[in-house]
Amino acid sequence: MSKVTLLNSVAEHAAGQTLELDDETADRWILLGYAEGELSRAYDQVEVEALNVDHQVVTLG
Amino acid sequence: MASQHYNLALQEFWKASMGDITAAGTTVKCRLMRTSAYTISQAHQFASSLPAAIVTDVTLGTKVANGGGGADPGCFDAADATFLAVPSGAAIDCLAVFRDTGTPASSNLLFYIDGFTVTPNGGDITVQWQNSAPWIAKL
Repeated sequence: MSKVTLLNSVAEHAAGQTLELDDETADRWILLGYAEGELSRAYDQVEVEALNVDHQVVTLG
Repeated sequence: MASQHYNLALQEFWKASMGDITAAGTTVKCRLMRTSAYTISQAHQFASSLPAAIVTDVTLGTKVANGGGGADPGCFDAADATFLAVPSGAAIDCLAVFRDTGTPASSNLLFYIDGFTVTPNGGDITVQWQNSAPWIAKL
């Protein structure tokens, strides 16, 4: 388990909260910029790109 | 349609009946929607007028009433909103922000935003609020 602090509001979790998540979810949220915390392991660029492939961003304004 | 406040929310702001929307104890949520399933009406006051959620609504955090780090009083802002694993389907092109009481029939609609479109691919969708006034919305 890993602790993260949310930078974004993610689903039912409001930004600013500190959560304890399984390592895989915590790492994913950190790498996608949803949260800050310590990664459980090192990730290479290919892995990071694979995580991002389905992430869509809508910028308003 | 254009992005707009719900007039009945403005009415309640003037009456101060909704309390401090930015308070930690006040839950404010954002719902992604499709204009094919929802047409805004100024007769709508509560979340019970919205279509069923496509994906778990996002609970907004880091709420402020003075966006821009305090530079824009009257502008509501919050951290960007990430919707997890939005099911694939037709384009999503509007959203509503509401004060959640836990009961849709008493959850005040605050404002409606359109003018964007995203076709969900099954992955996460992050909504980045405008990075200048009115941020999310200005009274």
